[in-house]
Parts: sequence; C-alpha cells; structure tokens
Amino acid sequence: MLKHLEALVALEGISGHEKTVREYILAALKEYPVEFTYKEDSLGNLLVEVKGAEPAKQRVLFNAHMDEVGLIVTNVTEDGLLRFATAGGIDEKVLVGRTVTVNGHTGVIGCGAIHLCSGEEKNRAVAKDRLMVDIGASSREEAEAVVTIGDPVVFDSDMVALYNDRFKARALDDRAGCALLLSLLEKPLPFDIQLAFTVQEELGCRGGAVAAFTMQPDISVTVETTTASDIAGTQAGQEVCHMGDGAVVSFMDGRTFYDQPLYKQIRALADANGIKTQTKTTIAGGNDAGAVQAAGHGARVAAVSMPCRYIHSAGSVLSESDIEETCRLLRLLAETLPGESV
Amino acid sequence: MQVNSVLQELCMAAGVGGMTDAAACAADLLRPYCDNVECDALGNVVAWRKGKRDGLPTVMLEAHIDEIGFVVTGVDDRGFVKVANCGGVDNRVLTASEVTVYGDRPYAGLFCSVPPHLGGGDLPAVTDRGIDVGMTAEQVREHIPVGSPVSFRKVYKPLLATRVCAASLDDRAGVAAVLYCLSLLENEQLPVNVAVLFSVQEELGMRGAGAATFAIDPQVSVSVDVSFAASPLENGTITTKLSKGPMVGMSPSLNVDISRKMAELAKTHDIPFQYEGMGGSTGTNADRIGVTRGGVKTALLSVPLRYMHTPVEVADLTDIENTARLMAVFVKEGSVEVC
Repeated sequence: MLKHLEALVALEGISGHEKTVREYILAALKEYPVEFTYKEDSLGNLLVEVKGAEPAKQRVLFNAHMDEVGLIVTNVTEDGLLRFATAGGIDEKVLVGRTVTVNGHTGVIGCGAIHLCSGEEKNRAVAKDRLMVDIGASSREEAEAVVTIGDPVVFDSDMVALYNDRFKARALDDRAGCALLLSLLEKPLPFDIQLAFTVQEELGCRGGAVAAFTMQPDISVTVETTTASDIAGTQAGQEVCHMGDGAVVSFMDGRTFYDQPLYKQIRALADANGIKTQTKTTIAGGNDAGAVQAAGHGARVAAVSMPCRYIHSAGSVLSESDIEETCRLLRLLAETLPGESV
Repeated sequence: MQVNSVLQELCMAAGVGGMTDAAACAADLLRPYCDNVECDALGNVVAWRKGKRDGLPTVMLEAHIDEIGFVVTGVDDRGFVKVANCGGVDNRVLTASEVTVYGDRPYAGLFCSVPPHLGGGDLPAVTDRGIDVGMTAEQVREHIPVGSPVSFRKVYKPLLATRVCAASLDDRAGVAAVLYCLSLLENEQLPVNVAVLFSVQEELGMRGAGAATFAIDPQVSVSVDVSFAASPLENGTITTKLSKGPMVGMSPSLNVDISRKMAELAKTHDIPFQYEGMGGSTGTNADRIGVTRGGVKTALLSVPLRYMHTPVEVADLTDIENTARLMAVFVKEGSVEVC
C-alpha cells in the first residue's frame, strides 16, 4: 500500500474543511530528507517548492486536491433530524442506506420503510431533498447539543481489501493523488519541482486556480482519480477507462483540452519505459487542470489519473497495480520534464 | 445481561436464507437460561425453561432469527456477482451498499453504482445489478458457487443516547428482547412452562415458525418482531414512535384478551407502551403460529424500528428492555389465566 494513503483516507476533509488533511500532509513532508519551502495561501492551499539537485529549466507543478465530497448540515428538524446540502456532486442514490459521521457522531441516512411504499415508489430513487441524517436525537435540542448548522458530514467508510489487488475506501478522490505527490519525495530529485495540495476542487476547481496563479508553472500535471465505469450496468464502450490497465492520461475531458504535445510525450515516455497507460474514452468530468491551464498567464497542462470505481460514494475502489504504474509515471515525469527548456 | 452487547453479538452474526451463524449465536446465548436448547430439521432454535411443577401449560416466546439478504445466481462476463433477493430487500438502498458474499470464505464486496451520466438515473432491478468483489469472472466461478448467501455488511453502531444502528435489527431486536426476558426470569419459579423459539425463514414467508410451533404445541404464544416507528419520511402515516416502549399489537388475527392483558400489565407495572392497530393480518409469524394444530392464542409485541429492511435500521435499546420487561411480567402474572 502506498505510504500515507491509509492515513489520508481516514481524515475528514470536505471542501472548505481541509485543515486536518493539510496539517497531516505538512507533517509528512517534513519527514522526508528533502529541502523545501512552503506557503499556506489564503484559501488553504498548501504550496510547496521542492529543491532538487539542479534548478529546473521550466517550472513543473504537480497538483492534487485535498478536499473530498460530503454534506453540510443546513437545518435541524423538530424531531432532531439533520437536513443537508451536498458539497460536491453526489448522486442521491449512493446516500440512502449509508452511515455518516458528523462531529464524531454516527448518523444514518435512511428512508421510509419499503413496506409502506406504493409499487411505483419502491423502485424510484428517494429524492435528495427528502433525505435526512438521523444521529439518534429525539428532539431539536438533543441534536443541537452536538451539531451546529454548517457542520460538515462525511461518509463513514473504512479501507477494506477486495479480491486481487483491489481495495475499497472513502475519499480516494483525491487523497490517492495527495499520497502520490508525497511519494515523489522518497528519492532525491534531479531538478526543483513544485507541489500544490489544493482546496475546494469539488466545488469547481476553486483552489487550483488560485494556487496556479501564485506558483506560475510552465507545465502542470494534475494527479487525480477518474471514473472507471467498467462495471455491471454499463454498456460496452461506456467504460471511460479500465481498472487494472494502468495510469489514465487524458487528451480531453469536460473541463480541459489538454496540451497535445505534452499528452503525446507522456504516453510515449511511458511506453518507452514499460509503464502501462490508457486514456479516457469519454469526454466527461473535469479537474483542477482546467483551472490551472487558464490561471495567470496560462500553463501547459496534463492529467495523470488512477482509474477509480464508484467515485463520489462512500466506497470507491482502486487497484494497487494502477497506483504503482501511476507512481512510476509521475517519478519519470518529475525527473524528465523540469530538465527540458521551455 | 447487557442488552447492548447481546444485541451487538446477534447483529454481527449472519442469518440470510439457510445460514446458521446467527442461529448458533442465539443458541449459545440461550444456554445459560434454559434447560435444553436444540435445533430442528429446518434450523429453528427451540429451548425450554420448565415451570415450577409438572403438568403446566406452555407459553411460547418467539422471534425470528433470519434476516433479509441475497442469494448468488451467477456472474457476468466482467466478474460482477449476480444475485436475487432473499427476502424483501429495499432496492432503493442497494446502490453502493457494502455486502459480504459467503463463498468458499466470506468476501467483501459492494453493489455497483452506475454514474448518473451513464444511464444511472433509474434504479435497476436487483437482478440487473452486480456486486464488485474485485474478482474476474473465472475467479468468481471458482470461489463463489451459485446459491451462496449474501448479507449486508455487518455493522453495529451506537447513535446518540440509547439508540443503535445495525443491518439486521429486524429481528435480532426481538431475539435480544426474548433473551433479556429470560434473564429477568432467571431466579423465578414460573407458573407455566416457557418454550423459546427463534425461527428461521420468516423473511421468506413465515416458513420456519409453523413446523416448530407444531412440535412445541404451546397454549399461548407471544411473538416479538419489529414494527414501524415514525420518521418524517412516511408523510405522517405512522404515529408509533421510537423510544416510547413496546408496541402492543391489536389485530383480529391476535387473541384480544391477551393483547388487552398486555396493555393492562404495562399500565400496572409502569412500563411505557403504545398500541399498534392492524387489519386482518400482522405480517408477522404470529399470523402463522395462531393457526398451528388446533389453534394457538397469540399476542404480538413489536420493537419500534426506523428504516426497516435497510442496512441502517435504527432501534432504541430501552424499547427492547421494556418489551422484555412486559413479556416477563406476562409470564409471571398474566399467562396462567389466559392459557
């Protein structure tokens, strides 16, 4: 297992509440025998300049976001139930029947008994505005003793090994990216590189834009997880990417048209070094790369992702081999790209 | 006896379809309180606590030990395990639900969730869903035979105050109530013989209770099941509530004298309770038990439960304790006159 990943996915940090994650990452950075300077900006991004053996010929930024999708308490009912809004895109179907955590208390998102539903209701998703978190309070007073409006609510989900090299965990999007950024520091680097651990990606890449403005990279590599829909219920051709087929290098998604020469260079580099890569076969989704590309004077951007099933749910799934391929590719990029002239 | 720890132990054991783990767990928990504990041909757990002398009538205390779940029907080309319902699972909660698949060993898995933009807008039927255990199709065929049971992942979590959340409170809450009742009667001389039945296959249509009741041949039976506790999600159609005590079933299929006796005893002993009025059937084993042999006088006590048939059922431990207290008082003071 990738160092720090298990600890990172255990941390709670929905958008706007990334402090715990940031503090963990900063402490982890200080454990590595590398020289670096850092800055926490006004949004909470952690911006790091890492010293390599030589100055870089062009500034290369590796960025991953610290925030995860979750819920925000918006109201407490007379009966002590919590109404909520989502922070980030969450399909209501993955919320019903889950346990969640709010201020250390377990809550459940239930639904009225199936026995009492009409035939039609039985097979219709429960609308998001009907869902509430039940922490076991009998009254508003009892609930408000432990919860305040605005408090974050996170998925209650541990790391569990599945068969082969796959595992299920919460918040893999994008703590897996954060862990990969940290892994770049395990060996001395030939050139200086930049790292950005960003905030509020799930709210529309708000942190990434600000981070890129400050760091002014020439090239940015966004390290992410991306939807793998090679699952039951999708048609052939709808998979987007495949679990177990290696790192996903994107040429285009819903938010970004990636730098074409850079895309081709990365895939060729991977091929030449025996690293498995694939690309997204559906133009959908988006990540911080779109914000970084257009920030300040602009940058050439790439995205390197791990294929991830059931993203934005309590239990997303990754494959260890995909993480390893992505890790090797990032190391190669960190050793290569900063040595090239702009 | 601590209701909380007993309930947790019961809820962590699986009892889907023909599985015997939960029944074995319940049988072990019964032994300290009963003269003998046995399993019948269907897997029902039957135990006896003899009364103070020979020739006494028999009062049966019943709760079902099985739970809703799934059964493996095959595998698709990509390695996703195909299942059918084993009991009335709520399809609305399945997307992204964690499960345990009991193949040649237990395997962790979860139901696939198709992203909304790929046609995941509608709820697929359970038979169109797949469970991801991380295997290839070949590996599934090797390790997970068709017919393997599947349960929701076993969790037991305390909520605020005395409320708890678990996947199979229906009807481990009832089993825990019967066990707690026996612990309350432990040092008492009983005016009746008490038979305990933890029945199987209730969720498949009340199949287990009939055969075991035939064998036990009781004069009176008290079933303990769970029933609906109000939440804002039923549009106000339910008025019975969590934490307000056992629900005393009032239904034409139940014995009206015993039902009234239960309410009267609750009042006398200051045990909180609430009435649950039902039409011609209760939807519980009590319906089946009542027509066994030449007929059995039946009563039904229900533990109020939210979010029934989901992995996050919620109950209040005090309701289980009060259900047990009422049952114990009935055995001691009320049972002889109605037998």
